[in-house]
Amino acid sequence: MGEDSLVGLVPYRNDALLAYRVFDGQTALVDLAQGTLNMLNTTATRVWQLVGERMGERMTVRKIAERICREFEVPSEEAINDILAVLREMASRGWINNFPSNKSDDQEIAVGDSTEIFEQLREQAVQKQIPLVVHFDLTYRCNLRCVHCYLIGGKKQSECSSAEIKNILEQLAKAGALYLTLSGGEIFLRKDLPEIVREARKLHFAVRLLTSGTLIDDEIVDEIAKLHPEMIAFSVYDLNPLVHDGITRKQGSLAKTLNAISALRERNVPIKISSVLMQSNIGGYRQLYSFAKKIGAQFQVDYRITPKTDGSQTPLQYHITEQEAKQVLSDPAFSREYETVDPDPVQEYTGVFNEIPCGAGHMSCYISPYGMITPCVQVPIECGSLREKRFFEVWSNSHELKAFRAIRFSDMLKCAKCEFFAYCRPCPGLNLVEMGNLLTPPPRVCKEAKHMKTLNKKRR
Amino acid sequence: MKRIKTAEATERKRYEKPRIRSEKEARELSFNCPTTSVKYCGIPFSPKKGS
Repeated sequence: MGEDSLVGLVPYRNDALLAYRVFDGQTALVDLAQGTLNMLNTTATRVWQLVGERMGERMTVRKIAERICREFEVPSEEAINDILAVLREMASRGWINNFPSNKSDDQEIAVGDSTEIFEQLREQAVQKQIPLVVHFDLTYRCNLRCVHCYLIGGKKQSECSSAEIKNILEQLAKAGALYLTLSGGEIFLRKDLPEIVREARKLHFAVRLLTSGTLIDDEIVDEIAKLHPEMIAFSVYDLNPLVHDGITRKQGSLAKTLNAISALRERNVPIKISSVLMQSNIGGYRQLYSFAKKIGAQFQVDYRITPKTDGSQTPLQYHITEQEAKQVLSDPAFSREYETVDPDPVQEYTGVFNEIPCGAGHMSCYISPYGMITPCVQVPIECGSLREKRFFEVWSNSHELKAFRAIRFSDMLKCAKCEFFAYCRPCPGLNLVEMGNLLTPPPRVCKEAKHMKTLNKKRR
Repeated sequence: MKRIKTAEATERKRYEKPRIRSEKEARELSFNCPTTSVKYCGIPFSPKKGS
């Protein structure tokens, strides 16, 4: 097809497979089909916006070029050539339709192995205070009774309605949120879940769902798969039903979870298996990892169990022993990001993340089923209700959030002077729920850091 | 004498060629807290690349 005919085409965006948000004139775009994070520079962003713009009718490439020439200092011929090239690239990646691709069917798009774009994005989000990542619990109700659960249940408040949630999502999108995790409780207890996910996708969020999968039936599988979640993370504790069901205290729960995983994998939905290691399932995580690998799922384990939200320490009785924690930390299949750093791991953190403990309250936040904002799911400091105030108002003006944001590593006196600091990532939330204040780490965290230093030396 | 810019000159932005950079989604590799991943805090352990 000649260039003359190409400029007459009217491309349109393939929004079903994409999540995106514009930051400072650049677009962060998550390709949900390819699992990539992409950054469009200012000009590519403008082309992207103009492809999606509907002023009466969609624009032809010629019209897009005219607008670019009007907005940027560029000669018309150069603009047309560049626009055709970037549109071909977008078509090759499957981001736009009705435009020829420059890629043959067996040709793969080269994608770098670095995390530079993400690092840049989170740095920018912290600097500009953009809530890039939001964790929204839609319900605290659950059909399982997991022994280690931190939720207390029994709250008699009414959950946000579908309309309230949609309104909150609109506000979040305006504030710049791109990654949205929907969790609970069991989110599939909400009959309006598909409707909520549909709305979130309409607002171009990258949506991640956390579930046990026990309530997912064939009809919902199809509905959810069509909405292209970025990922669905399933809690699986062991492949032995006696162990898994013993933890969930629901007979038959493992079988249901595995059925849901299988049905979603068949529909190419990205899956992650998340496991909490406890004394009863410490022996099974390797098998679980092999299973995840076999079905092409991501895998993540975590052994840190936290107290309940009312302060009760009862879940801690299931925590693995210090010796077992060392065993997990020493397992060569797993790594922490600083293990490869030589000789001083602390240097690996750059920019503002060298000063603040984490992104909570800076670039991420948590919303409860009742519309309450806290800095993180782990930090139960109430900052404002979305039933009383707009998101922007709470995010910008809450005294609690401002105070939380002011925390620096240097305030964590024990940590700042600690010789194992480089092998640790102190978590104010964990400090708060276990030690009663944001700045003092639980002793076992310090022991882990010490062990990591020993381990790191051995591995070199 | 004061130089008067035309409306067009002030509005037009510096041009750079449209460019797209890409990388594999690696949120969990870069974050070690669950605001982006699971509900439990602490450091999530993911398999090493290539293991």
